[in-house]
Parts: sequence; structure tokens; C-alpha cells
Amino acid sequence: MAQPAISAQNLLYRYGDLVAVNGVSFEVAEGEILGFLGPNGAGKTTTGRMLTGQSRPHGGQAVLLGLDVVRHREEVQAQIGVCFEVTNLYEQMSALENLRLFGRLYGVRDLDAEGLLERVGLGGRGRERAAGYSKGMKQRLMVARALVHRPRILFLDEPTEGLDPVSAEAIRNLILEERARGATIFLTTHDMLEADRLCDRVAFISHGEIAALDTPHALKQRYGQRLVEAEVQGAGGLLERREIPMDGPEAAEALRALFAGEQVVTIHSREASLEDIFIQVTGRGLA
Amino acid sequence: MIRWHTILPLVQKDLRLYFGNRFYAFITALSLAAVIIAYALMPDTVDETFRLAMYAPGVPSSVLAAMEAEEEGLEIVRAGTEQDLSALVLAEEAVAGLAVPPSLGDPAAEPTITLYLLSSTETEMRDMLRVLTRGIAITLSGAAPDLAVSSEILGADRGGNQIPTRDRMRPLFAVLVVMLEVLGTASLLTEEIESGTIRAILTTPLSTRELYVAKGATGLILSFTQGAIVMACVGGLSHQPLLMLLTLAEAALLVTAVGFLISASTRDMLSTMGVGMVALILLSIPPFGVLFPGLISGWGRALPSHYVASAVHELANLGGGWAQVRAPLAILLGYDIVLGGLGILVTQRRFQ
Repeated sequence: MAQPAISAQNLLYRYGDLVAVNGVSFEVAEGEILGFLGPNGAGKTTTGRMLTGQSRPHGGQAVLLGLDVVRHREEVQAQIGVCFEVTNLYEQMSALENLRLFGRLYGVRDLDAEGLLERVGLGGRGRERAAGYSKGMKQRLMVARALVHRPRILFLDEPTEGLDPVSAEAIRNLILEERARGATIFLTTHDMLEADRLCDRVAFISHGEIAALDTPHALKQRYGQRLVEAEVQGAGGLLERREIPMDGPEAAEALRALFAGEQVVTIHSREASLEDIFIQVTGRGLA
Repeated sequence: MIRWHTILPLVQKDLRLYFGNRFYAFITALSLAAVIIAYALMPDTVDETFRLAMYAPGVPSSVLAAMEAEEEGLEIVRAGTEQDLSALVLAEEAVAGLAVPPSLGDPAAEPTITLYLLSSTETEMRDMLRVLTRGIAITLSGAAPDLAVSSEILGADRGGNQIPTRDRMRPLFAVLVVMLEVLGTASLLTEEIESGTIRAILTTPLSTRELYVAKGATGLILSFTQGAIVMACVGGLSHQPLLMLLTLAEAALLVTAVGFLISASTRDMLSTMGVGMVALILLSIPPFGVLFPGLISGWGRALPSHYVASAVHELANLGGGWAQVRAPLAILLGYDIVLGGLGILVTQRRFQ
């Protein structure tokens, strides 16, 4: 097997007595998008911080592109881009100045800052101060900042949270473009639909531990229940709901009986969502 | 290894943001202008004349002229009446007034000499004038013992060559201007922490050590440059300029170290500014002790800015050289190392 882009082995992190991350292990292949899903306080951001060299693990090891993050922090950081959940731009500087500063910190000589802004939908706004940007524009600028040095691994922490649909879609498209370029993406998110759409695999993290890790399809296969949902005309003209599980041997007979015995108004199939599976696997919601 | 090509952009960014911030730019320009204008407005000479008013109807003018000739710097202003005498003192045309009765010298008369003083005259000056009055009384009554008084001046004799007040203030100017940057240096880190940009910076290949160097370099540039500008404008670089610049560089290091400590041990910009003001006030006290010996008790020496002020005083006011400033500079360097190390340690703990 080729060397993974990200390898986390028994990562452990404590805040005093509280164990925030408890023996988390996983690997991400080059060019893969891994969704890291979990509610607030589950340990997502702390894991991201250990992987990006911001926090030193209290146990275990993080290896990126074959380099131990603690021992080779600067070499690792030269090859990763990080987009934070909370806006942290130099607000008194223009978008172009922000990008050029980070380009210089990464030692990029041929930075096309205007082209990068164009890619995130901020073309023509580069000379404006970041302080005057909307939340969505700032978030797009932060994504652009994480891309100034064409990183091999991109860490995105809730990149679309609280954004308008246009900004969120622009960022999702950018993530797919980066994957197409060959970048590995570690996507921390609450948004199960986003994860379902973008991620090759997803990891459910709860109470500092990984509860499940697989492709969205495989998770749905393993934990989800396929249903046929129907609305039928009930007594007195009221609509009533019927649910028929499709995975059992009796599904065909139940469907026949439905059409034979009832007046079906609407009918459609429903797959379990990642959120349903998350609740099923971890016993808690994502809020 | 420090990579200057990654540090330089941060220093340039900080300087740009610093001067782009109207508040900091205004305070910086204002403090520089205030010090330079204050220096220019202060008298550049020292009046060493001791002006004494006298109403002495029984004393021949020749005796008073002889007294003036004998005492260098003594100028006797004669008053026609005792009322004129008190008017001269009230008008501050004389330091004090002496009313000498015509009966002086008559042992049977038990004469009294009256000393006129302003209420604002300091206690030490009053005592000194009383002693002087006795001396004059003995001289005028002819009862002076046949005694010669010689004096030994210890240290540099500035008699006839007093340092003008504005020049005496140079250590204060230097310390105030350089130390003012405690606030600026502390805010350099606090702003990064508060806005979260520190996280963005520390996920680039820039090491924590290089971040300190970048922030330290910005603090050094800001405080050293301002100190050097002020010293150049107030004539502080005319004697031993290299030693003066070395003193300012050590003072700038001190400011940077204290700034780091404050920034790492405070929660937000407001508390940084609050603690910074306290530090600024404390660090500004020692120059007064250097300028006016005895004004501040020994604890002033525990403050590192004492050694900045004493080195500047030696170099700018007393014509001193390496021999005179090496001790204060060595102590100051010790403070720089200890406080700088402590600042980095506390900052590291804060980041982790």
C-alpha cells in the first residue's frame, strides 16, 4: 500500500483531567477527502490541531507525508494548508496583502494572488480591506490563504458553517477542484449532507473516540435501513403514512399488499442519512 | 537556525500595521514632538547668580561691594526701606531679603537681623539662608574670627559650568520615549493572540522562535529608533554616540522583554494596556532619582530603567565614557537576558 498522506496512531490529548482525544487512529490516502464528523466538543478540532502541529499530542503519533509532525513540524507545515473555523485574517490589510504575506511566509515566489482570489469568487475585491468583507467573503479568503502554496494536504475546519448558499457552494467546488489537483483533504464538519456529497470516507468521532470510519455508502449499507414511504388515503379522507422496510425478504409481499389493500397517494424510497447513522452509532446527535 | 527571509515579511507587516493604526501613529508622533519641543523651550543656560536683597542703612556701600567681590556669584540688591526689601522678595527679584539694623556692631544694642523669605522657599534653602545670615552678621559686625575656609569639591566640579535643566532632562526623555514602546511591543503579540492570527502564522513553516525574533525585532526597531531620534534632537549623541546607541539598544531590548511578559500574562488588549501603563509608570520613575539624587530611595535601583537613566546621564551630561557606563550597561544586559527569557517562557506556555 502506498504511504498514506495522513496517519494518526493512538492520538491522545487531555485538557487537565478531561480526555479530549482518546486513542484516535486512522489513515488518509493521498488524494482522498476524509470527513471528520462529530458534535461540538467531540475532539474534532483538537485532533486537527495535533495533525497540523498546533498542539503536541500527549500520546500517540501523527505522521503526515511520512514525517512525524512533532519532530518535523516546519517541514510538515510547509506542505499543508489550514483553514480555521474562526475567522483569523489581518482585517486591516487588504485581501491581496493577506495572501501575499502568507505567500512570503511559505516562501512562494510566483504567487498569483489575483488568480487565487478569482478562484474563490473574490476577483476584483482584492484591494479592499478584509474588515469590510462579509462572513462568506472572509471564509473564502481564508480558504484562498490556505491554498497560496498549493499544499499537498488541506485541513478545513467547518469551512461552510454559517455561510450563504452561494459562498458555501463556491467553497465546496473549490474542495473538489483541490482533490482533482491531487490534494488530500481533511474536512471537519457538522454538515452531514456536505460530507455525504464531498467525502470519500467519513469518520464519526464522539467523546474523543472514532465510533465508525468508512465510505458514506458502506456506512449506509451497514447501519442504514432502506424504506419505502407511502401516503395512503385513510378513513375519513385523511392521509396516513406507511413505511415498508426494503431489506427483509418480506418486502415484495408487503409492497404488493399495500397496493392491493390501500389507495396509495404518494410513494418513494428513503435511504438512511449520515445523520441517522451517526445517531445510531454514537447514540447522540450532532448539535 | 533563524531564516530572515521568513521573518522579514512579519516585521514589515507589523511596522505597516503599527503606523497604519492612527492611535499608535498619533501617540508615537506626539510623544516624539512633545519631548523635542519641551527640550527646545527649556533654557539652555544656567543662572548661577545668587541674588540677595539687603536693607542695611548702617553699612557702607564699600563693605557690601567687598562682600560681592569676595563671594563669587553673589549679587546684592540694595533696598531703600524695609518695605522695599519685602517688595523685592515678593517680586522674586531676590532669593531672600536681609534687613540689617543700624545698631549692628553695638554690643549693648542686641540688634536683630530680619530674614525675609517667600513662603514657597524650601526648608533646606531656609536653613541654608539662616546660616548665611549669621555669617553675614558676623562679617558686618566685625566679629569675624580670623579663620580661612577652604573647600574640597568631590567628583566633577560643575561650578561655573552647571548643566542646563533641559540637558539634565535627557535621561528622562530617553527613558520615557523608549519605555513608551512597552505598550506598542506588548500589543504586537496581544493583537495576534486576540485576533487568532497567531494560529494562522504558527501553521506556516515559521517556527515559534522565529515568531519571537520577528516580534522582538519589531519592538526593538520601534523603541530604538524613537530613542535615537530623540537623543539626536536633544544633543545626546554629540558625546560617545556609539555608547549612547548601545545604551538605547539595551533599553529597547528591555522594553521588548517587558512587552513580551505583559502580553503573555494578560488576557486581552484592555488588560495588556492596563498592565502596560503600570509598567510604564514604574519604569519612568528611576530617571528622577538619577536627576535629583536623594529623591528616590534605594528601591529605584531595583528597576532596570535606573541603569538606562544613569548610563544616559553619565554619557550625555557628565561626559563619561566606557569606564563609567560599563557597570550599568552590564546590569541592564543582565535584566534584558532574565526578563527576555522569562517573557519567552511565559509566551510559550500561553501558546501551548
